[in-house]
Amino acid sequence: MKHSTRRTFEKYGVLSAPLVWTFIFLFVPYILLFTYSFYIKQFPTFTPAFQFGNYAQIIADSQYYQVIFRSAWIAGCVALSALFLAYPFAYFLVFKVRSARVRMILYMAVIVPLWVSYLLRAYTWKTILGNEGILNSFLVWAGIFAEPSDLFLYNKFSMILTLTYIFIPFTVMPIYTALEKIPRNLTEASHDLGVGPLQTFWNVILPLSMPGVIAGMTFTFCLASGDFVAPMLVGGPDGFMIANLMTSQFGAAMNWPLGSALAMIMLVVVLTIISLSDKFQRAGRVELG
Amino acid sequence: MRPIIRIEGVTKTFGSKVVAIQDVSLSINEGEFVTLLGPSGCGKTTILRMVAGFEMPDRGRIILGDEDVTDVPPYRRPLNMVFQDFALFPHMTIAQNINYGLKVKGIPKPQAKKAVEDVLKMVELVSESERRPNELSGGQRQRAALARALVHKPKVLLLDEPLSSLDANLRAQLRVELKHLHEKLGLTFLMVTHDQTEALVMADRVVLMQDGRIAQDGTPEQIYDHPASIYVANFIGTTNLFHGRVVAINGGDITISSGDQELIARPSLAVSGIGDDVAVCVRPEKARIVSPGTDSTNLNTMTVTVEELLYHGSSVRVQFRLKSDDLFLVDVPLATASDRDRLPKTGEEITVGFAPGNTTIFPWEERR
Repeated sequence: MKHSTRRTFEKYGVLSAPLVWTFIFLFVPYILLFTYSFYIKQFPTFTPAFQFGNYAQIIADSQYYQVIFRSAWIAGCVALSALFLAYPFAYFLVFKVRSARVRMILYMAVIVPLWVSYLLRAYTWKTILGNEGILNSFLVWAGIFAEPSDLFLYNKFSMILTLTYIFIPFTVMPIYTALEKIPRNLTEASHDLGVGPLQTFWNVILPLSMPGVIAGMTFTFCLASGDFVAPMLVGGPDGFMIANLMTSQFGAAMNWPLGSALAMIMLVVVLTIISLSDKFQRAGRVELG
Repeated sequence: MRPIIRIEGVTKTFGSKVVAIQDVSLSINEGEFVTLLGPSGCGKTTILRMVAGFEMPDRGRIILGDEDVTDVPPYRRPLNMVFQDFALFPHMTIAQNINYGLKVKGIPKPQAKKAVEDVLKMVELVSESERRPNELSGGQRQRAALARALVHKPKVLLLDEPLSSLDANLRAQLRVELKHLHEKLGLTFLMVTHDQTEALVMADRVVLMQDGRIAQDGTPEQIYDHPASIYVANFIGTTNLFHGRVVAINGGDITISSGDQELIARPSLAVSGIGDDVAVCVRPEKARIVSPGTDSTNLNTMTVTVEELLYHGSSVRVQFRLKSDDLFLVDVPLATASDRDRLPKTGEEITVGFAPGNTTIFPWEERR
């Protein structure tokens, strides 16, 4: 008894620093946000209260849930396009690249941009797609366009492109890991049973890599849906997303209670998605080898 | 008998230097159980994988029945394989695993269902058919893999070390089961193994490989009793090996002097003339201890000193040291209680004898 108490004490002793850290910088802010979401806005600030007005406003006023839906739609497009780019790439790395060195280099090429400032990576696309950007200059130079077009920037397309670029490593990583774990002899077994490469992919490789696909799409979806830098830099009016709405509530609008209520709703949405995805992943996960 | 697989002059190199297979030709008849035997890295698995279509030979042809399949991909070859670690699809039940190939091939459902049921019955996995591979024991997985291959009624069944991941008791039992299955189905089996017992027990024919070439191709008896080289003699079973010199060749028999003893060896092509250095090979169980007073006129005899007795349960391995410092082992079976009483003591000087017919010689240079 005494021994186990000491063990427990030691266990928490070791964990104390991270626990304190998480408590102060994660739980306290959440609790604050949760509390604020019931406050009443009173110009110029807000007063403590316990009422559901902020939540009611979000539900009643269509502009709020439209932004939520738009964010989800954009994040969904980002997750899908990231998947369609990341899966073939990861597949190529795992099954087609023979040299382990080349595989590592190509894999790192995807990961390394994560070390570059996030802002910089978003800004890059502004310079590529912008009025005087590389793409326009090229098209004008090639004679395809008479003058620079603003077709590429400040719309949903540029948002999806930029967000896909920024978050694609989070799709590649889990898919790569899932594919790498599939024993090579399963492909051979499938061929041996008279099943061609396409059917083998469809029946063996794809089902066994589903946990990675789900994890990757979840990451990308959640990260993209909460992004507010890309909408600001390349989004325009079309790309106004939930996170921008929240920042404006905490900033210019000075409506912290409404912002907090929005944040709480997003938190619930994201947590629901993560737990659902976790459930699917568990269902799809099988003992390999 | 009709050859079903013909491997003709096949060479395979991995990377730029490693020669895995060096000009191997092999013909396998319909209904035969052939084992490719050898240590790891001898090329046996590469041959099997080339027959299956997973590796392409650099040179040579592989002919299956009447069809040259050298350039045919694995999924169009009418043969099936049991993989070393079974390679069952972990996301499918056993029944789905077995049905998989049939389903993709578009075999009508009732027909496929019947085939799956039949093969499940044959390997006695009916009650496990709805389980996933990870819920099965090693032996059950092995049988499931077998069923998955056999449901296609392949012309040839390839087995890549099918028993190596099982424990010893199960392995011994499945050896016999596989052998019976082969007899029952009348299919051609081509198996790769590094386990000589497996090869000897199961196969009609053993192809012993050495460094990408065939060292010997013959029945288990031929391989064991008439090894073609020191390598073969050493790989299969245990063998005593010591130096001798040819002193006379009369008719077929060859007289050899070793130490201060004269021995008669059976005829051998390895000897060219008197004075040749040879390696003399005698299997431990073919030699025996000659009790004083018994007749030993037709035996080669040597006087030796007992160095150690090694108890093996069913027999005792008596270890002697020859004058040339080579070890010499004699297996003494322990059939009755008196056998144990008659065992020599350490340090005792005794006579061992072995028949000239069991005395094989090889060129001395072959020794490694």
